[in-house]
Amino acid sequence: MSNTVSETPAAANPNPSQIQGVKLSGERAVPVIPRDIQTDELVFNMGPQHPSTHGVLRVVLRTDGEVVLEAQPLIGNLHRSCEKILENLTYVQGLPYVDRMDYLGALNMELGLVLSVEEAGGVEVPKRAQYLRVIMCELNRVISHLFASGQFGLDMGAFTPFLYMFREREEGLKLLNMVTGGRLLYHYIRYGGVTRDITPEWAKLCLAWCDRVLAHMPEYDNLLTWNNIFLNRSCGVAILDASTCMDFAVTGPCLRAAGVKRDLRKDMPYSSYEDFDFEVPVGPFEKGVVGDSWNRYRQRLMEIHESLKIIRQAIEGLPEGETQQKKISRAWKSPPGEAYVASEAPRGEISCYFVSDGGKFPYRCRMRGPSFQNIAVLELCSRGLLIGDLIALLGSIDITLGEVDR
Amino acid sequence: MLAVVDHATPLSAHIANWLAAFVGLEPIWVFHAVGALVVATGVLALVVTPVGLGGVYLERKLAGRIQNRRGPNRVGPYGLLQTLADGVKLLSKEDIIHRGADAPLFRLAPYIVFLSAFAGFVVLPFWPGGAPANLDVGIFYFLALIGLETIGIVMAGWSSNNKWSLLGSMREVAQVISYELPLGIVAMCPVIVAGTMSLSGITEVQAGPIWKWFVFRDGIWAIVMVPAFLVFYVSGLAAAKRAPFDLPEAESELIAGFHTEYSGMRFGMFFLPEYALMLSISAVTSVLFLGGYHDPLGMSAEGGSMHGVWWWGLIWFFSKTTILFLSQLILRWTLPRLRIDQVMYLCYKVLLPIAMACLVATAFLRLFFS
Amino acid sequence: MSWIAAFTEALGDAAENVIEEAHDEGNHPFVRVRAESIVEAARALRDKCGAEMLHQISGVDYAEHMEVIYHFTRVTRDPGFLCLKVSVPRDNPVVPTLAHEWRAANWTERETWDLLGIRFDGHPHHYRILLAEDWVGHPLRKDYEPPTEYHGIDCTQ
Repeated sequence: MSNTVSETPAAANPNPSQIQGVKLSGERAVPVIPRDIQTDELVFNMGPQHPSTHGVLRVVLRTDGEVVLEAQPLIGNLHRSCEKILENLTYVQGLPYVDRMDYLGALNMELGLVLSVEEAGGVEVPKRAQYLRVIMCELNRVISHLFASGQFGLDMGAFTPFLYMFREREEGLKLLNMVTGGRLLYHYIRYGGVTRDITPEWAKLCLAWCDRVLAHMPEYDNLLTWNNIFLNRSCGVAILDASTCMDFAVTGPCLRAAGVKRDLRKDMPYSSYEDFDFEVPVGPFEKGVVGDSWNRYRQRLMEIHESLKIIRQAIEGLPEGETQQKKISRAWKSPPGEAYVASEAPRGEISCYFVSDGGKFPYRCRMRGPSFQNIAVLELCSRGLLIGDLIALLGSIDITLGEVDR
Repeated sequence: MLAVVDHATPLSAHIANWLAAFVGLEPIWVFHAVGALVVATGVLALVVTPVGLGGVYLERKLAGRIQNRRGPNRVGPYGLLQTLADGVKLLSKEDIIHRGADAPLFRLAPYIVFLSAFAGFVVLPFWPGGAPANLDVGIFYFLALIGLETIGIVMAGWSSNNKWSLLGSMREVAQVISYELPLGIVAMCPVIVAGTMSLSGITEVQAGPIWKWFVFRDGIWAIVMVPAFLVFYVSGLAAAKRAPFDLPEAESELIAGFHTEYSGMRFGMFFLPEYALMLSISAVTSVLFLGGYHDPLGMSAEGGSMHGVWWWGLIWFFSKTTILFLSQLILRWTLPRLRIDQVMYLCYKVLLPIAMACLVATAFLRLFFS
Repeated sequence: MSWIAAFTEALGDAAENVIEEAHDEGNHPFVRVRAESIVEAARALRDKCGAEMLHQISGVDYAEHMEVIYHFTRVTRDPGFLCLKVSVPRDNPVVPTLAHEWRAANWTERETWDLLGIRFDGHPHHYRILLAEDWVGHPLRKDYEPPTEYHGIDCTQ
C-alpha cells in the first residue's frame, strides 16, 4: 500500500470531451467505462440534506456508476437577503446580521463590513481596538480552521481527529464567549472600535490556549495528516491550480494552497496587521501536488500556526488606550461616499462595497462571500472524480452555506 | 377431534397434543417444531443479547475513550443498559415503508441479513466439543453465509428505490464478492494443514502450547501462516464492512448506504448483524489461526490439567475473539475510509496474490515438512 | 503612475470612446466606462494593468439609473483593487457579460441579475441563482415590493 500517493495531476480537467474513458485521480488511471458495455447514467440529488455538503447546498450529480460526469451546485436555500436587511436598518442595528453570513468565522464577517464603512466615513479606530480586533479575528480564524480540518477528516471517514480538534475549538469558543458574550455570533466589532476590553487574566488564559493548540498539533498530524489512507484519498485529488483559482476568483487557503502568495493581511494590511511578524504559508507542501485536497487541508493547519503567532504578538504588544472611538453614537451615520475594502476571512477574502448617501441607513452594502466564489469551481473541478473524491473536494474547499447564500 | 388427556403424560405432550389437534398434524411433528422454536429462542437470547449488549456497548465505550469522551454512562450501571434502551427506542419507532419501495423485498431483506449473520455462530466450537452443530464443512458453511448476507443487502438497496441505497448495495456486492476470494483462499491454508474443514477439527489439530497454533506452528509454518493470518484479518474486515472498508454505508458519501430508508427495528436488524458478523469473523479467525479454545500453555491439550474442561476452553475462545474484535474497533475509530477503487486495488492486486502465494506455499510445506 | 493612467494609456486611441469619467482622488478611485465597451476595457485592464482576478461585481440602484461596479485585483504583484463602473438606464439595464473573460463573472453576474434585475448580454446561464425561478421582482431594487404570499406561504410576518 505504500508509495501509491499520486504525483501526477489528472483531475480538474476542463475539457468535457475527455470525460469519455475517464482518468481517475490518483496514479492508477483506471479506464472505468469499457466501450463495449452499455451503461446508463444516473442522476443523483446530493443535498440539501446530505451530511457532507456542510449545510444546505444542493448538488445535482450526473454519474456513470461512481464516476461523476457533471456536478451542478444549486444554491439559495439559505438566502436571507442580508444586503437588503442592511439597507433597511441603521448602521448600528445592521451589524449583527453580517455575523450570520459565515457563522463559523463571524468576527471576520463583522470586520469585513466595518472596515468598509469606516473607510468611507473616515473613522479613526484606536490602536488598542485594532489590536483587539486582530486578537479576536485570529482566534476566530484558528477555531474556524480547526473546524474545517476536522470536518474534512470526517468527510474522509476519520471521526476521531474531528473530535480532537473540537476539543480545542470548544475551549477557544469559551475564550471568545468570555470577552464577547457569544459563542458563535458575537456582535463584538463595532464602528470605531470594539465593545469590550480584555482582562490580563483572559490574556493569560488565551496564551495558555495557544500553547495547548500547538501542543496538540502533532496529535492531529499523527492521526490524520500523515495517515497513509488519508494521503491516498486526498493527495492529487481534485486539483485546483493557480490559473483556475484566478479565473474563478477563488481566494483564501484554496488559493494559497495552489501556490499563490496572496494574503491580504500581508499584501494590503488593515487593522494594524503590518505590526505583526508572520509568514504566509503557500503550497505545495510535503506531499501531493500543488493545489490538491491534501494541500488545502495542510494549508489550514499551517495557517493555524501563523495565527497563533499573531495572537501571541498582539497580546504581548497590546497598547494602552481606548477600545471605542467616542464620537460614534448609536445614531451615527456615515457621510456620503463609497469604499471597497477587503479583508482576509478564514475562507477567503471578504469585502464590502459600501455606498452611503448620508442618510440614516446605508445606501448599499454589497458583501462578497468568499465561499460563494469558491464553490463555483465545483462544476468544473468535479468532472471525472469519484463520488468519494467529490466529497474530498467539497470538504477541502470548506464552504459555509450561510455565506454562499447570504 | 381432541386427544384424550392422560394424567401420566408430561405437560409438554399435552400441549403438543392440543396443538396437533389445532393444526391437524401428527403430534410428533408439532413436538419437534415447538422444540425447535424453544431452542431458537434460547439461542437468540444467548447469542443476540451478548452481541447486542456486549459488542455494541464495547464499541461505544471504546470509541468514547478514544475520542476524549466517556461513552454511555447514564442508563444502568456504567451505561450497560444503553443498548437495551436503544433497542426499546427502535422497537417503538414508526416503521416506515415509503410508497416507492418494493414492499415485500423491503420487508424480507433485514431478515436475510439478520439470519445469515447470526447463523454463523452455529458452527463455532466454543469449547472442546462445544460446537452447536459440528459440520464437516464448517468453514465453507461460514463463507457461504457471508455471501448470503450480500443478497439481503442487495435486496435492501434495490427495494429501497433510492439511488444512494442502490449505490451502497452495489458497493457492498463489489466489495464482499471480491474479498471473499482472498478470504476463502487463505482459509484453505489451515484446512490443508489440519486436513479437515470442520472448525472443531481444525481446533483439535492445534492442541498444545502456543507454538502448535497455526499462526506460529513449529516456527517454520509462520512463514506462510503469518501473511495468511493478516490477509484473513484484512479480508474479514472488508467482508464485515468495517472501517476502513465501510464504503457500503459510508455516512459522509452515501448518507447511510443501503439502510438509508430503513427505520425502527428494521434498521436494528441491519445494525445488530454488523456486530454479529464482526464477532463471528473474529471467532473464525481465532479458530483458524490462533488455536481456538486452546490456551497458550498447552493445559487444554491431551494430558494437560485442563483437558476437556469446558469453561477453560470457553474463556480462551472468548478472550481471543474479544481481542480481535477490539482490534477491529480500534481500527474503526482510528482510520479514515478508503475509496472504492482503492478497495478493489487492495483486494485484487495486493491481497489476492499474497493469498495465492500462501496457498501454494502451504501446500508445498505440507508435502515436505509434515 | 496610478493604475488609471496606465489603463488610459493601455486603451490608446480607443480611450476617448471607452472612458466616460475617471475619478482618481479619494479612497475609492474608479473609471466609468461606457456599457458597450466594458469587455474591451476589462480585457485591457487584465492584459496591460495586471488585473488577474475579477474580485467582485456589484450592482447599485440609484433611483434614476443603475450602476454595475466591477472590482478587479492584481494578485501576483502590487496587490490592489481596480474599479470599473458602468451606468445603465433603469428601464432597460443591459451590460455585456464578462463571463467569457473570467469565469468568476458567471455566478456574480447571475446574482446581480437575480437581486437587481440587471441583464448581462451573452451570459451562458442567464437565470436566477439565489431566489426561486418563479420569484417575481428583484429585491435589491429600491422600489421593490415584497410579495405578501409565495406558494401559500405568508410573507407578511
